[in-house]
Amino acid sequence: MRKFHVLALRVILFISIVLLFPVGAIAQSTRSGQGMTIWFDAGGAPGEPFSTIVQKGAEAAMNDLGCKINFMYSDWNPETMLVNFKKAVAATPDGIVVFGQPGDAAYGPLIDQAFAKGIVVTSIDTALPQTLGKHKPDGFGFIGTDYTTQGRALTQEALKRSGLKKGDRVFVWGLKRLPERGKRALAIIDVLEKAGMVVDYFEINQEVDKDSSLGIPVIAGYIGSNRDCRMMIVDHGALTSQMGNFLKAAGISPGAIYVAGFSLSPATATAIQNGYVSLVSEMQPYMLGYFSVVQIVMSKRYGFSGFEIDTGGGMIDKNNIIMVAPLAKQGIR
Amino acid sequence: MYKRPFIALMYHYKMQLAISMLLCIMLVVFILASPDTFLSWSIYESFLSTIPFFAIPAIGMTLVVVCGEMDMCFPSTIAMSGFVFSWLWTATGNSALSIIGALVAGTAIGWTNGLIVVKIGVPSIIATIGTQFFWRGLIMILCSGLAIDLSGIQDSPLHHVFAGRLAGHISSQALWAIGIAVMVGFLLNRHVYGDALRFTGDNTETALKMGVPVGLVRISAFSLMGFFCAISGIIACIEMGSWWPTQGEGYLLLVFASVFIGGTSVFGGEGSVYGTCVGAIIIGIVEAGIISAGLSGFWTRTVYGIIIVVSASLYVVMAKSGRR
Repeated sequence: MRKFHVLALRVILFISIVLLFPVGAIAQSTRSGQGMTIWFDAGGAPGEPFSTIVQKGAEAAMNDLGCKINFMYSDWNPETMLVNFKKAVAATPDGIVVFGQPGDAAYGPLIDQAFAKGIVVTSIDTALPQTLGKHKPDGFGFIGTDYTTQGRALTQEALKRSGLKKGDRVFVWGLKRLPERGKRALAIIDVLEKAGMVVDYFEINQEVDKDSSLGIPVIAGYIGSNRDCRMMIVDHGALTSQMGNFLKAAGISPGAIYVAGFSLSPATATAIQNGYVSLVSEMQPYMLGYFSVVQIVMSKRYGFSGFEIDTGGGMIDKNNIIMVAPLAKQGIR
Repeated sequence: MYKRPFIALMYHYKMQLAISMLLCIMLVVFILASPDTFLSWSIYESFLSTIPFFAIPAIGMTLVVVCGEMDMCFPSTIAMSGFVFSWLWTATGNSALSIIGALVAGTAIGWTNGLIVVKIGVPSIIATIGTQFFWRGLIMILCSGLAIDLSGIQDSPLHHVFAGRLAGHISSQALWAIGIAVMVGFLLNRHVYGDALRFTGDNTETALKMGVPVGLVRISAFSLMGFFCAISGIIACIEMGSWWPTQGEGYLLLVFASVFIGGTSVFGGEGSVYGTCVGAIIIGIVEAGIISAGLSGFWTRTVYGIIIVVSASLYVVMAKSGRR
């Protein structure tokens, strides 16, 4: 009888423990990011395709590791990025993730101060080589790809696949005016000119940059004056996604002009499937968000040094778009 | 004053003539610089498909400015209406419901702006900056920052009605914009509502003494602005086959430039729908003119600036000479 009472007591105790402490809570307590707070600059404005995917990657890491993330937005403005960084340092979090666009000279002293306070900082999208050299052992890493490398890789691949010859006309639509980002447009132009192409470069204006629907007359105007254009390289994710509409409005049929661009979205996937866009280079921004949070948590928890991870090199065309398109709808690719 | 009625008529419409002359000069310059582009119909076809995106809100903004107010919220109104339209269309596939939902959303946002300005008394520029942030933020929360793919809509009857091509070349949105311009032009110039708007914008105290329901007029101007923004949002979504969270953000400069190039007074009390439409065309053709002439995109804003300064100066000079 006594054994029965002891057994019953154990069963009741076991059930109580299971009910009071859900398995999830036990699992959570072992997660390496538990109790950590990270301030994360998402780079652009809320809702921008690139920033949204970066943020989704960071959120996935947050859910996996159990840390807390406060997101900030800089509208791609280097000054705002620096102001956001100062705000983040003032809050003394465990870690800060920055877009490196303001450069080493501007960020360097601020990052020194952050590390002095015990805050782990890491950079995404744009490398900060001097800061990396100084703080790599403390956990400062770089997740992303070099804009010049990405621009060169896409252009070389597009030239190879399109079969263009010397003297063919190529239209490049980019953002040279942005200090670091502009390197990609410069790299594209450089590769094309060295390959003997006639390059027509056009800067994306602020209105078209924010609202891609305003790009139709630009393409129509250019095509009207340059019927011999054989290739278009668009250094802008949202504009790449609308190239099908732009070319349709200009009376160009799918495939008549070889179109290459950057970043994936549901509309870009449709343009690839329709045959208007031939090749897209993807920086895989989801991984920028995911790995940078892992970097902070690992460095803070276990003292790992900074990682350097190249997320570039992803090329999407009609052969792999069927697999990738559903992920674009979810904001993962 | 003038013995010849023709000269009197010309003098009466001097603002409209000036803006039309500016457009003609620009077209001649563009034709000379790039005849292949500007003597071909396809460039005008593209203008007809994109200028209505911001010309329609600019027509609504003309009414708001005439009654002495300012609506900085309209980019978010366009985005919210577009979002409601896209969300309803993907969720239900019902075209009528999607359009009605978007129009109700846009008008409700405009009406709320009007209420804040009129009933609470917050200056419109401040109130609408606040509501712009609010609605844009709400959009981001609702869509989680993700665009909505509407690629199937381009094969639907809805596309033919709002963004199709009449005879294969004339975009439906241009016809909508022309229809709206004619209707609002009639309202502003040939209807008692237009008088009420002008009196309200010119002098609120006097308008009140004349029996104009000033509060109602101001709220209605904001509501109409919201309604027109919704039409613009719907058309942009259908034309582009997608909705995106930053929709409308690029229209801010274009809409205000269209209104003020068109001769509408920033102080309220007078305005021209014709002027706004011509202003929108001028602003809408600049970039294509620059690119087809082989100039860099860095020129676009410079030319916008020149046009705005030249047209505003022209109006001031004409107003001064008219007072003499």
